[in-house]
Amino acid sequence: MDTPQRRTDAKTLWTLFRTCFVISACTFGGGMVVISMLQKKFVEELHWINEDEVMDMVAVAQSCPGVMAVNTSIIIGYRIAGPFGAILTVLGTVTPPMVILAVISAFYAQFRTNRVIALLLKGMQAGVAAVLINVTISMMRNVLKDRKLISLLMLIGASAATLLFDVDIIILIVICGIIGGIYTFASDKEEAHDSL
Amino acid sequence: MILFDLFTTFLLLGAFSFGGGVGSMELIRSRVVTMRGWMTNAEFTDIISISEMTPGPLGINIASFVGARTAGIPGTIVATFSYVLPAIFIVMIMARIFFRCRNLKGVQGVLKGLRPAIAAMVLAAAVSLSGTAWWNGISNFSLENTNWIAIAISGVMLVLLGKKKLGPIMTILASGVIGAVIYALLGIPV
Repeated sequence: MDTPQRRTDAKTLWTLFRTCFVISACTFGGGMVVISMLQKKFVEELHWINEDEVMDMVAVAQSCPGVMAVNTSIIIGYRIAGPFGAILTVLGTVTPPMVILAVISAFYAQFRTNRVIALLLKGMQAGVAAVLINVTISMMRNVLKDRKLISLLMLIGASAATLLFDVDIIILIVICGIIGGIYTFASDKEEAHDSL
Repeated sequence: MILFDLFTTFLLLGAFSFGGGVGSMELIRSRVVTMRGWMTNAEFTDIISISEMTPGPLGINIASFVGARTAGIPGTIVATFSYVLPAIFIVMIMARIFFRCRNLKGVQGVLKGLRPAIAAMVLAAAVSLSGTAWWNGISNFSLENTNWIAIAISGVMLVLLGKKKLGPIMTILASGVIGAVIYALLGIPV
């Protein structure tokens, strides 16, 4: 990846777009599933990327805001064919869900007034609530796992800020990011100091 | 101008969507439901349910749905692509930096700092959408307004999720079927 040899022939570009399009259209079940499909295609079948690189790419994709599956496709496209490749892989990845949701949106009003569907969707609200409560519990456990006071304080502070004080989420993200950055930087220094 | 509003809103959401689909749910909800009023909490929950059953990530699905709803085909294109636009630049820049210095420590420190914030945001989303499921909106909270059937379903599903007997997709599907049957049998209007 230090000196990427870019392939920008039409066939490569078409393969990039088509692969992302097909994987995105046919894969249910979220980010990690899409990533493993991309890996299968680009590493095992096409040999355009090697195994170690994929791990690095996923790490970079996870460090950026946005959707993991989209970010991974961006970095694959960029690695293989430069910025133009990244644009093509994004197009391939987002077009299928965009078309599906645009169609759903066109029929949503009719769809929602159908009694059976309305009953199902109302029932599903309880399931969505359960899933969110479950994720909340496991995330909070995860945050508190390091048994550091700062994690507990940030968790309480952030929860109070959103639930009780209606603090804008973007402001919350920026503040917590800054605190996290400073904290990591400070504890790194401490470690370096201790080892001296 | 609606297309411009969609562009600025989803550009901002794309730049700050940390923590995956569930992590960024409350951020998206705060803009799309609370600030802009482009959809209701119940509709937002519908899209979460639909997202579990169609391909595509939640953020993209919300952007495509809201865009199509408010401004048709141009709307869906503008909303969806402005949602991924920040990532295109950020990922390419991060890739260049990473493969030059092979170090993500600073970024990972910041992301680690975000974890309590993301947990708090998921909590906020859970409170708000449980409110929709159980009281038809948390603002209607009262004992007589309580939908005990929904609470019972959520409770059972929570136990099954905790014991890893069910995944999220099956949980939502099963709640839909069980809820639909009970509501239909009891003749509860929906």
